[in-house]
Amino acid sequence: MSVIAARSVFLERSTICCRTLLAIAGCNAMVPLHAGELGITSSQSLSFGKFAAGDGSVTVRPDGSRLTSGQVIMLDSGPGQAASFVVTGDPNLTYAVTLPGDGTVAMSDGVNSMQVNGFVSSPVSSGTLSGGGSQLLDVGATLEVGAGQPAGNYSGTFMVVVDYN
Amino acid sequence: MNIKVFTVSVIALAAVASVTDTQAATVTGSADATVIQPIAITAVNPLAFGKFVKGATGGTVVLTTAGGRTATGAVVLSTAGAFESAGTFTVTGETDATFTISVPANVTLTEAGTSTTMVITTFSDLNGTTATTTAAGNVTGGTLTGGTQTLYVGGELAVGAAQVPANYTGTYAVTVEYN
Repeated sequence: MSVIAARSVFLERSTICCRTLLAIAGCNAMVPLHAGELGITSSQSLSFGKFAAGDGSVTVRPDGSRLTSGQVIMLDSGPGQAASFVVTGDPNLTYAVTLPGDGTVAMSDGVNSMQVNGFVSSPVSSGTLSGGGSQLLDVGATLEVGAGQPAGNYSGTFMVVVDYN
Repeated sequence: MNIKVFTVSVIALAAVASVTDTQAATVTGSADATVIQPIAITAVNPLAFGKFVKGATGGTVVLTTAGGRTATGAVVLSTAGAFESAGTFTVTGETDATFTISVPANVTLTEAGTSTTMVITTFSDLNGTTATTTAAGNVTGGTLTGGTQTLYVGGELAVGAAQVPANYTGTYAVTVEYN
């Protein structure tokens, strides 16, 4: 009976460990391969800067450039910036980036809110750690602004997940 | 015998799966934005040239952004009533924000009864001085120091030799926009 239970665990994990199905002995070799734990820390927050509201949007690209659509007017006094994260792990390994989906992140001033959609990163979707075992991951997004969006300071949070490929 | 070997292998796999689980790393990033006060403009005083007599050959009435008048040509200013004033507007919005200003170069005044017209060539500034002239033209930008800025509009009104004596009125639109 205990054999059956263990096998059930094996099947659930099979998508992660699929390569090891071909050679059970090779499975042990994977342990040192990913021994360095993948880490990610925030080094710069995402800012859409200052703007006058209108029906439209503000986009901050991963390179930090900002553009608007619709009736939104940017102010040079608040230029905005892309988010930056430092990913660390084993040298030269690749990792996948998972960003928030549309409709899952909002910013609020305590009363009013704005949706943040269209998250994009550089590198896009998958990165490669340097020989020193790190890489800078820049993230941008698009802020949806309402025509009558009340003035105020809006803030929010979003999750970024990285995982070895 | 075979079953026993298989059991050992499965345990090894389960251990690897556990290591795989710890590979993902998650971080919470923060995001912010500042929505500024919308820019607004309010008309305070009308651009008014007051009363005058056209004279035999007409001429002009020049109204400075400080609100003072002078006449050229045959035009004679009337001091009856203190009707003249520079056009003034109050612009409000985000403190220290810069903005563009659009004042029409010309404003046409019309006499309701006869539909005859007179044309004002405008000029404007942000301090209401006597120094701004027709040649200087209109101011095109400003800064909302303290969140507010006053715009002063003057002009030169062309009075024809055959200008019909009457009340002439018109409107003009001033537009401000954040840079």
